[in-house]
Amino acid sequence: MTASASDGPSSRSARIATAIEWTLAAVSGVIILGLAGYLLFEAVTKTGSHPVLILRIDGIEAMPDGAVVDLSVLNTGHATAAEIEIEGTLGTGPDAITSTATLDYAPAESTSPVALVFNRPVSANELALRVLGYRDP
Amino acid sequence: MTDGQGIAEADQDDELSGLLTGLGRAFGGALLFCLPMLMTMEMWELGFAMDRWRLLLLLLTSLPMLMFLSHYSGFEATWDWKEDLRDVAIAYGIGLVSSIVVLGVLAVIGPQMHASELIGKIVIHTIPGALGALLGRSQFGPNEDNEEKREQSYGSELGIMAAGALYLGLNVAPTEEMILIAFRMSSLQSLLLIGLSLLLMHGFVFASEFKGGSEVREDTRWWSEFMRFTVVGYAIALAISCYVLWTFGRLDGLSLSTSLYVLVVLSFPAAIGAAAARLIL
Repeated sequence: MTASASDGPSSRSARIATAIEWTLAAVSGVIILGLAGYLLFEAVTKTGSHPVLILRIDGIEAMPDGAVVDLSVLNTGHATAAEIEIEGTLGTGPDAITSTATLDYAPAESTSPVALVFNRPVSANELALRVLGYRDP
Repeated sequence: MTDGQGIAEADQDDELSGLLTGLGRAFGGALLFCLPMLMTMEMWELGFAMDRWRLLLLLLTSLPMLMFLSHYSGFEATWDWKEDLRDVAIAYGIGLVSSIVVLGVLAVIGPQMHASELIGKIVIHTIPGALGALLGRSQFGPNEDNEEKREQSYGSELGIMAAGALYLGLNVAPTEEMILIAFRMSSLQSLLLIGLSLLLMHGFVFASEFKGGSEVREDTRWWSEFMRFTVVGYAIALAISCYVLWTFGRLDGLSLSTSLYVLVVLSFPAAIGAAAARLIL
């Protein structure tokens, strides 16, 4: 540790070192207080207790034997969902094809990628998406 | 044989056995520090799944950290950057060999695997292995030079804290539990965790005064210690945690507030690692 300015003959470098120490301490203190303040703000304002899940199609990629649909699961709620079951259905009636995927987590206010695989070409307007269920983490 | 030759040969024998002892300690350190990671499923997955640029960056950023550790307490008491670089290269080698041997014996890697998966799994374990090799040397080494090493500048005290934070952070950051805990915690529990981290850290800082770790004088006020070591140390733990989480892709897709929760969770062990490192190293 560097000698503080108070002990003995205070040299220029010791003063600079002390200034650096206290500058670091101040910057760190501000960061921690900011972090704590943000969490306190969240504790007061964000009281929603349910995940709100929205499915968005990001892209459809043709594969040699079908297609892959890239999805984003947007959770706009203030709670995290776990083991989210997602189902996509192509077409209607007896010819309908369904495909499902399970997402480990959809964190609160975050976006998570997931993909559905079909064994025939897919167009976005014939694809119906829904969330089957989830649990609390 | 003349006396001179005899003495020279005896010196060489001493140097050789010293080097072998140092290498043995380094291997021990690499295993001790790296085994939890070598036996963690998420670390194997990261080996092939993590972003290659981030893995490369981790490898590059580990170099200055290892150089610092080598400077502070390497295989030998060196103060020459060339010797430090040599020791760091040896540490990487030891990390590499121990990772390959252990991962191979544990059937985590095998000849049927693609080169990308093999190399990824080995590289990601080599970095903590090298860190362990250097730390192990200082821990298993002789105690007599500890007194002299205790004379530390403020900068190197912070460096030691960063190494401690990185070690414990690397150990737990890859696990799914870090994000799971964060998802389950409320804002108030996160706030409490920050308080608890600071409190425990300060306990270690306080304890290191008795060890004669830093030049704490009678008239030093507790808040001066708290601000310069505990608060700065916690900020270092936050920064290291943030970097490690980003490297392992744990923050990808997360909102700012969820990321902060995860950050606070990982900073808890990182802060303990940072504070304990000053006491232990």
